[in-house]
Amino acid sequence: MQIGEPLRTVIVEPLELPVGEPATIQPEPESPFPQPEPEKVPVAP
Amino acid sequence: MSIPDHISPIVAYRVWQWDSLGLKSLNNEQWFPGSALEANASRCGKGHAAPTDGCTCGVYAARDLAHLQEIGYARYGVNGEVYLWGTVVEHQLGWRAQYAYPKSIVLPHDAIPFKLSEAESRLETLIMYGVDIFVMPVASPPIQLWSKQSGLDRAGFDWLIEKPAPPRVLLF
Repeated sequence: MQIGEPLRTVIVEPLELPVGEPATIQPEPESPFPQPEPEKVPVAP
Repeated sequence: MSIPDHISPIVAYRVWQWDSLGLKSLNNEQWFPGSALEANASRCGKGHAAPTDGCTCGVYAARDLAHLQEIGYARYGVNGEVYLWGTVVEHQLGWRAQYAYPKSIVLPHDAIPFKLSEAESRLETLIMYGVDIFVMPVASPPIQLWSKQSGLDRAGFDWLIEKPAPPRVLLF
C-alpha cells in the first residue's frame, strides 16, 4: 500500500479488544437472523 | 518507562479479503476474532520489532477511505475502519502499526451471497469480530447490517431480503 514518506513514530496505548460480543451470546433465537415464516400450504380434507 | 503519545487507538482505513474463514490481509495474513494482529517482523528478516523508521514492516492502513479509493485498493475486497496501536509510524498518507484490529467493516453489495442462508453463514464469520458491519448498496449511503451492541439491524435485514438478484449470464 502506498502511504507516502514516514513522518514520525508514536506510541499508542493498548486497545481493549471486543470480547464475547453481546449480540451473539444471547441464547435465543438460535440464529441471530430472523427466519421467514414457513408458507402455509392448504391441505385437502 | 515509556509515556504513550496517544491514549486511545488510532483509527485508519484498510482493505481485507473476506472468505469462509473470516478476514485476511491482501497478503493472506489471517485476522482472528478477538485477537490483535501483530506485525510480523520476521518477514523482513532484519530481527527488529515492527515497525521501525528504516524498514517497511508493520500493519499498513490508509489515513482515509478516499486514499484507499485513489490507489485502487477499495475494489480488492471489503474495507473498513481499523484500530492501530503499540508502536505506530505515521506516514504522509497512512500508518504502519505494531498491532491492529478491525473497528468496522463495509461490504460491497455484491460481496454478500444472494441466498439468505448463504449470506447468514458468511456474515457469521464477520460477526465473530464483534464490530459494526455495513453494506454499501449501489448509489446510496451505507446501510448498517449488524450492530456490535444490538445485533441484526432492521434496515439491514430488509436489505438482505430485498436485495437485487445478481445478473444472469446468458449463454448462446
